[in-house]
Parts: sequence; C-alpha cells; structure tokens
Amino acid sequence: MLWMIGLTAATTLLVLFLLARRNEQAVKRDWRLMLSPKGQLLYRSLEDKVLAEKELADVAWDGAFSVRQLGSMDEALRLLEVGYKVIERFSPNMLRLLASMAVFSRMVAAMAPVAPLRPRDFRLAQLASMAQLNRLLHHFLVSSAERFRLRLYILGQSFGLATRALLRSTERLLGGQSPAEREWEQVSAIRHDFGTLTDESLQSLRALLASLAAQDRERVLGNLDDD
Amino acid sequence: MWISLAQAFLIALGSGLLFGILTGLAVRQRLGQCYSFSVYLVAVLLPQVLEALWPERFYTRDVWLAKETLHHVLKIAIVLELTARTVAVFPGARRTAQGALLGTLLLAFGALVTAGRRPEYVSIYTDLLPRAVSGTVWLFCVLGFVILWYRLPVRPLHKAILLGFVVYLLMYAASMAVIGFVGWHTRAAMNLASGAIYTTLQIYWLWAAWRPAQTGELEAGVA
Repeated sequence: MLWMIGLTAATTLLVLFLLARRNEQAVKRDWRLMLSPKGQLLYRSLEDKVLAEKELADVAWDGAFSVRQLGSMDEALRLLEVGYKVIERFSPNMLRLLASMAVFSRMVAAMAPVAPLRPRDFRLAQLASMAQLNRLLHHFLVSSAERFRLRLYILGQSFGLATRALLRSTERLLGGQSPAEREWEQVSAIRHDFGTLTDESLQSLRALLASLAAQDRERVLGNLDDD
Repeated sequence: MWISLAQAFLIALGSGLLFGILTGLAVRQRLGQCYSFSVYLVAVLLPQVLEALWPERFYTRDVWLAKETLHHVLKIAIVLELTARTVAVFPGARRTAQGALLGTLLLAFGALVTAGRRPEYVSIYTDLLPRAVSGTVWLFCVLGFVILWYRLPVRPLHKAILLGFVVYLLMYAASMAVIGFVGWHTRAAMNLASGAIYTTLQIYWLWAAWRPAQTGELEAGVA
C-alpha cells in the first residue's frame, strides 16, 4: 500500500511541477509558427544563416593557413583566433538549433527517416567514435523520431567536443606549448569536422521541414482554439 | 449516521460551488468541452443535495460506496475523454497515449485485484479505495506526461480539470492511507481535511469555468 502512495505522490508532484511551469501560450505560439508558411520560411532562412556563419569561420581559417604558408606566423595566429571566436559564437547557436529541432521532432506526426552519421566522414578520433556510437544505437531504436533525436544528440555532443578541441589547439598554438605542425594539422581536422557537423545538422533540419510539411495543418491549427 | 455542522457547511458550500461551475460552463458554452466532466459534476452535486435534505436515507455507507464507485468510473471516463480530445489530431501522440493508458489501466486493475479480500467496510475504505484512487491518479499522470512530451496544446478548462484532479486525488489517497495506518479514529478529521481540499478544488474549477475565452491570442502568429 505504502509503495503505491509513494509512487503516486512522486509521479504526481513531477507532473504538477512540469505542467504548472509550462507556458501554454508559448506552446501554442510554437505550433502556430511551426505550421504557418511564415514559420516554414523562417526555418529555411536558418540554413542560410548557418552557412553564412560557417563561411565566416572558413574565411578566417583560410586566411590563417595561407598567411602561415607565407611565413607570417603572428598574423596566422591572429586569424586563427578570429576563426575560434566565430566558432565560439557559432557552436552555441547550433546547439540551440539542435535542441529546438529535438522539441519539434516530438511535435510532428511522422518523422522522415534519417541515416546515422558515418565515422569515415570525421577526422577527429573522438568524433569518429561518436559517429560509430550513433551507427550502433541507431539499430536499437525502433521509430524514425527516436533515431532522429539520437542523431541530434550525437551532433550536439560532437559540436561540444569539436569546440573544446579547437579551444585547446588554439591555446596551445598561441602559447607555443606544443609542436606547431601537429597543432595546425589538428586545427585543419577540426575545421573539416565542423563542416561535416554543420552539413549533417542542416540535413537534419531538411528532414524536419519535410516532416512538418506532411502535418495535418488545418486540423492542428483548429485545435489551438481556446474555446 | 448524522452530519456534523462543519460537514453541513462544506456540503452547502460545495453544492453552491458545483452549481456555479455548471452554470459557468453552460454560460461560457463549455459543457461540451468535456461531457464526462459535466456528468461528473452532476453526479457529485445530486447526492450532496440528497444527503443534505434526507440524511437518514442518503447519508449511509451503501449510498456512499455506490457514489464513490460511480465517481471513479466517471473520473476514468474523464481521463479517457480528455486524452481522446487532446491527441485527436496528433497521430504520434495518440499511439503513445493509447499504449500508455492501456498499460496503466492494466497496472491499476492489477493493484485492485491484489488488494485484501476482506469484505468489511473498513477494508474497502483503507485498502481498496486508495488503490482505486492511485490508479486514477496514474491515468491522469500518463495524460500529463503525453502532453508534456509532445508539447500538445491543451484547452485551459482541460488543464484545470487535469491539474485539479491530480492534486485532489493525491490528497484523498493520502488521507485514506493515514486512516489505514494511524487508525479509524482519524476518519472524521481526514474527511474534513479532504472536504476542505475538494472545496478549494471547486473554487479553482469555478474560476476555470467562468474564465473568459482569450480569443485575441488565437490569431497571433498565424500567417
């Protein structure tokens, strides 16, 4: 008897806490935005924004590598730092995008199937392992929505790992703490992997948008009516 | 059996509040938002009035037991109707809700079946009923989790029904457990406590029933 009351109290308090702090208007706003043509346009414009930010980091890195080959190490390090600062802003934005995609993936009626990440697309060993983990767990999950969220989770973790690796390499190069050649190779690998992670994230966004297009728009919007 | 002054006051207050809720639902055209909830309110109001008018005939254990059984059946009907209405246009959430509710119903049924088989009134009150109440709370919690997980939009009245029942039923189950563990002598105090909580719940539902519709929010954001 006591276990029943305990279980009931625990689940009840959890539901109450979560339901009470939920903002109903925000939920409705998300649904409206998700299903409206304006919202679809907004999500499509995100792709351009992400690509523009990645392009900015690429410009800085291209400059750093070119200047380094010309022998101007100070200028190369300065441009490398600029590239890192762009990524420092870019990564949290990508994590937020992945998190909101995970939320929206729960809201769509049916999720378009997505392929797991491929280890051979990554140069950093840690990221290749994450992709391997994605491939492995992918087969244990049943629904395409679960597989989609797993992919997003792995992408999010990989962005974190890549950003930390870039920070370490940039700091070592700026501090002259380790052989420069090895660190520049590491930065090159990280840069490549950031590109892969961004492409895979955008592919996930496209899958989500395709799934949203299949939603029964009129019926859902009608259901948002207060009374 | 006789009705104490405090109980009579709670019955009168409760009846007035229930009448107010039903009137509010009718005036705001919300009676049809959850039919089983409207039926439940009538099923609570009617025995209360009968008990107050003819206590010697209706304030009995048998009537109480029949009333509780009916109320629990209606509460389960409310959960099922709220679930059906909430997930109607969301196929993914509907599949999950169906499976989870069926599983929880079986679990609740199992808890009832494994209850002590003593036919005494005390045993029904302290063993069987808390299990039935807990099972009903689980069903409401399942609906709550489905709403949270899929970020489903919920009508304000439906949310008020869900939150109200979850809080009240938890308190009710706890009060019956106290009677079971501490002793039968605590019954009057526990009844009074759960009556006071139910009155608070009715005030909340009264507010939800009369709350004006916020139609201005509907068009915002829709292109």
